[in-house]
Amino acid sequence: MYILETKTNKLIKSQILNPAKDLVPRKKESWSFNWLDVHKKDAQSIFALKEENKETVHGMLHLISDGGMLVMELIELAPFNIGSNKMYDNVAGCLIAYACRKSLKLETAYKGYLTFVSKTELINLYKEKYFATQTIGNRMYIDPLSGEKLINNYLENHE
Amino acid sequence: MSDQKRLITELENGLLTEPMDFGTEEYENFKLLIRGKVSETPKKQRIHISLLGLKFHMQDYLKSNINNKKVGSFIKQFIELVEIKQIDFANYLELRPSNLSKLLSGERRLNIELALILEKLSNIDADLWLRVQNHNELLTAQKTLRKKVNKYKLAELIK
Repeated sequence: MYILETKTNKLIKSQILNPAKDLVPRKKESWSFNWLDVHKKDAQSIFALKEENKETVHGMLHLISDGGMLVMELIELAPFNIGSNKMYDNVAGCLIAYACRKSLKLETAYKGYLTFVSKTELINLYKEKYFATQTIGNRMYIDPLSGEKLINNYLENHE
Repeated sequence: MSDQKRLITELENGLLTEPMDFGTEEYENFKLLIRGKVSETPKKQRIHISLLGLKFHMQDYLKSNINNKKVGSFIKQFIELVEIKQIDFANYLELRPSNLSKLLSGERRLNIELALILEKLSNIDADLWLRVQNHNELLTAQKTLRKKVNKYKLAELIK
């Protein structure tokens, strides 16, 4: 998978993995969420998107399986990847596509569905860019066929 | 600037989701709704989704350093996912049932022709079916042939 360096439009080869403790972003590095705390409780449930052969983390993902349903409990972009001067693009897309891929591997009654609660101001973005559907408040889901499109767009086409 | 880009620009931090309200009545209704979506999926689409899951399992298996799943067990999974009997699969492919049985148990190798047929039926690349087989054979050979292989040295060859 690749993320896009906005200044140069260059694709940067990246990977998503369960981070070792040293790689987990810290609040003192201006991340909003205490990722170290979740890492301590359940290291297998968090995922970091990093450049290949570098230690720079561009985004983090926390997945919870609740009774067989996959919940994208939290997704956070690195501080340098938000705002008008963000350095890299496609980070959220890669992380969401990765979560969709996980949901397609489930052997449960919720196979292929990725669920989450959107921030109110991002609902339209999720609908338009990530083919998500809103239902019951700010809860959203990405269905299996939409997930397949995201996987093709963000994870597979550039392999 | 597009609405999408303006939204990301306006975010105060990199958090893109809110925590899920596990355990509430609304959440349980949401789960029910997702389960309903899954159970309403037409058979053809359900099989397509299952085969996507199988492909991801095979891809991830290749990245692992274990060889505990024969390619035959993935073929067996394929037959189960398309909801047909092994005997019908053998007949459709004009294979003797005993040969299919040997293929599934690993007694018989997967050949290129059958891998291409599997690609056509499953939409999983022939290359991926064959790589699972090669992955297993290579890992086994690395153990069993180590002594034999280690005696070969480039320096000796070119002296």
